[in-house]
Amino acid sequence: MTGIAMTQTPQANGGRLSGELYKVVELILDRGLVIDVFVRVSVIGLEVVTIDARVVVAGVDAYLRFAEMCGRLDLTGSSPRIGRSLRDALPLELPGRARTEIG
Amino acid sequence: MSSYVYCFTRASHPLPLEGAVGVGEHAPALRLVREQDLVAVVSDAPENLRAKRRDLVKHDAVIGRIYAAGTVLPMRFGMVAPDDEAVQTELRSGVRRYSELLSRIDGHVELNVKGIHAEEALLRDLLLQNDELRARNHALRAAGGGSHQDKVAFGEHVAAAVAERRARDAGQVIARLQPHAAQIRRGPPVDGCFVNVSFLVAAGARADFDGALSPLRRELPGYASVELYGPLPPYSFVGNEADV
Repeated sequence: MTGIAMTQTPQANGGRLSGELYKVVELILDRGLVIDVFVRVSVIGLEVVTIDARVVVAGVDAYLRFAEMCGRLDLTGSSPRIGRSLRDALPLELPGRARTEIG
Repeated sequence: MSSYVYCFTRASHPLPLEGAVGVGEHAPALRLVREQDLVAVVSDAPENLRAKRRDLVKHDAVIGRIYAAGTVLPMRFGMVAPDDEAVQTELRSGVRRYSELLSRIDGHVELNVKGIHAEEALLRDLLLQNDELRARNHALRAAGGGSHQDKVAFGEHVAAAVAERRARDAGQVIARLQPHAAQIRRGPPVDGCFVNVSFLVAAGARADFDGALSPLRRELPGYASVELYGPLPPYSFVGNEADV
């Protein structure tokens, strides 16, 4: 497990859990007020969290991955339950580069 | 010394800043820049600030602390002004716009909803329901996986079907929750999520919004799950961009 899957430790201010922060990190990095005349510090490395997401369902790599996943599926049995909740799943979905940058 | 900016709020805000520190390894003290009815919360900007976990947490903690005590306009992470005077100039020139924005957000919270598809279960469902895809999958398997070209062509069809389900389920999430929100804004795409959307919800509508989640979860296909994050400072509702 990497740094991004933080344990849910309450912040000193008693506010939101720092673990939850990473579920909404794209909002802190991509939303919020922007003042054009101010400089924005480099957030290279974290921006890939959102940039990489745009290519997940398109492109040859994605097509091959889908084809291979379909090829491995067992279509005879009953539908498997969703094995893990979104809370567990999300950090695992983040690209490796972003993970190391955050950690 | 340049100034790192956390948020704007009203001068009448209680601003509980005791003990809070800013971003950067030297944990700079927070200070206020005042202009008419507005105030900006800033600190010295650290050298070479990057988006490290420690600093993201601090940025959000400073804003969260102020947000917990009243309406706030949160900055995007990493906004640095040349000095406090530049911050003051910005407040002065934007005093009307920022005051209006604060009034629009008063009494509201941002709630972020993310939906995720369990990919294997989704693909299984697609193949079971789509005879053509299932036949092609079967043919490829019979051919020992098929050629690179065949796999790409098949995968592209699957991807299109996946995109269709994503759009359909995202539409359902939005349709069920939007009636309880004052504003809605799609979040940036997040890997693994078929929908990432934020709602600006009035305090009085929170119970209805939360109440709409359970029936939504039941209605969505078994391979879809939704999670709610928040209440958050209104990061998604302080920009100039159009809704959704």
